[in-house]
Amino acid sequence: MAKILLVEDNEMNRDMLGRRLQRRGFEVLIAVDGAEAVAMAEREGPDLILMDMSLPVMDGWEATRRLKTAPETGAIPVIALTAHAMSGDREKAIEAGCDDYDTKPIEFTRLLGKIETLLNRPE
Amino acid sequence: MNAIIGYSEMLMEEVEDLGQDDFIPDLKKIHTAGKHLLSLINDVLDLSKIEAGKMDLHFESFEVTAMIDDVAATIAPLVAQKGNRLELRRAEGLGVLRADLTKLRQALFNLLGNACKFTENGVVTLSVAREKTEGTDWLRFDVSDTGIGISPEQIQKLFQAFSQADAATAQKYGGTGLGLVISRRFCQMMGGDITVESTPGQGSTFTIRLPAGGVRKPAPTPPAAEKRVEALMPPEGVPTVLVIDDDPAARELMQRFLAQQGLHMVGAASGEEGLRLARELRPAVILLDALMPGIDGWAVLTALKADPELCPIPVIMATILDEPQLGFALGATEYLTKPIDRPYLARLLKKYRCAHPPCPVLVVEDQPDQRALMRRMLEQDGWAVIEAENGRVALERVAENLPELIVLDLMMPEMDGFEFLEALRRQEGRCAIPIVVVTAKDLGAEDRERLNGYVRTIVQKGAYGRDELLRELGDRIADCLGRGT
Repeated sequence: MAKILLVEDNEMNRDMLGRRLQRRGFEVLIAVDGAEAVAMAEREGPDLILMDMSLPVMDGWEATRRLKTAPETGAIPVIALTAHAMSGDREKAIEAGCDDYDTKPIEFTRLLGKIETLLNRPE
Repeated sequence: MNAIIGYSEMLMEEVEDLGQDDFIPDLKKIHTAGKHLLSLINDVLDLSKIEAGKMDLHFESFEVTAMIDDVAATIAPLVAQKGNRLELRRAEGLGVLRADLTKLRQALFNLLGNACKFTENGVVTLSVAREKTEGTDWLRFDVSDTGIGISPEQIQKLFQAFSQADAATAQKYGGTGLGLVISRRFCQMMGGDITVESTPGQGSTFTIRLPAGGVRKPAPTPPAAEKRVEALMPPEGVPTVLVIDDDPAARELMQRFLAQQGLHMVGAASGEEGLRLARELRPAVILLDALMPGIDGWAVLTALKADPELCPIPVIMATILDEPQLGFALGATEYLTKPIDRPYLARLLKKYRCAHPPCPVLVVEDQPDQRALMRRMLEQDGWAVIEAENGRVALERVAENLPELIVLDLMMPEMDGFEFLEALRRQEGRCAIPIVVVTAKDLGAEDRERLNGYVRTIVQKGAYGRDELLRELGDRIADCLGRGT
């Protein structure tokens, strides 16, 4: 089953999204800041990363840039999650190397659709 | 909100898996209420930002056709929900529009969302055209539906905050009643507007018009100098209301409103100008905006109230902040609770000492031993004490000899502290005397308001829609002028 790295500093959001993904049969790895996310992605090689953009230590923008420029992790699809539909966030996310983008509060079915599209994408 | 919406969604999935379907309707209610609350919070935040002048526009140039296609694709699921069909009519050569893309999209989603909400098995049409009037290029977006329509009475209320066409509608169709207000403000900020035409039972058309070149709302040109002087002279027997507000739109609005009330209005765009005009014109009432660049409203209030000639003029503060406490403090009415903390009293009174002591202080207190105690304390600090045993006597003493300061007990027989204050505040030249209230009880909000005789009312701008705000201000002004509405 696909392995998803969930990067989220808010415990409640992590718990909700993590549990719901597990219920759908995904293996869920957790990172609580950008630095941890980069390290874990290198070590565990997840199939997809869900990245909250406002994170402590290293924010999601920077973490995504690092992931995407490193040869070991560059191919892992990243979905950016931002707190609100700010104008330009989508462009900013794509520019940072994210493959897709969604806003919080999470609409789970919609996010699930995006996850599945990216996982089934031909390499 | 995230947690309420998220966990209720999770529970719905879980109870479904467990086969406990009877929980689902209740969980759904929590989920729906959560989502409603979230949109209400977002709307209220938007609206208060607009009211506070903190809503920034980000102008950019974009292809109208591409934007429309994107909007149509996003709204498609909502259109389908009630069996409606979306028709797109895009004129040729729409070209480029310079506007705040996010805010225009929000306005279009709002209009389209409303159209879908109030239409069943019908057609929602979005027509876009470019037109030229008065030498300006405009983009025009018409959102028409074949829904229930809106009556002329309902249309009047349509653009007011917190009012849907009627309460029953709100119950049936949901929504916060703020979306349309916000959308319209956005369009106005971009130099355009939203208008509506509707026939009950047949449908409605909402129209957004925006200048294609992107104009921020231009400030109205100031009237010529001669015209101003003329405008300052009030017609015979008509009370003058001085409106001090830096926002020209707000002054213009008040101008129209006060004219309807048969009142003469003089506007001031800054605190400095306001103070000058107050001295020149001696208005019957002053309407004061709290937030202004330069001298702000609170500083103007302080200046007005420190001037013996201007202090009897009732002031109505209009503010978007909840600052009645500040108004109280500015009333210069300090208050102490018994038993009196001696060093605190000394410190407090120091700032009221006149240039050449002994300074006359009037002690208004019904209990002889309390009065004697107070006299001792004050005389040690170099005050010349005059005594009064109740409010009525105190008024007589004030008439005989103007004190520098009044120390006032609130609970007294015959005329209590509140009544005394009210009587004193009405007297010209006497309302500027600083007053220290001494009280045995903790003052409640109502007491504070009564003591706060300097500010008649603080009207909170954000709490009202435009028309309600005007009505509220009208009532307060009528109170100040001593006539009913």
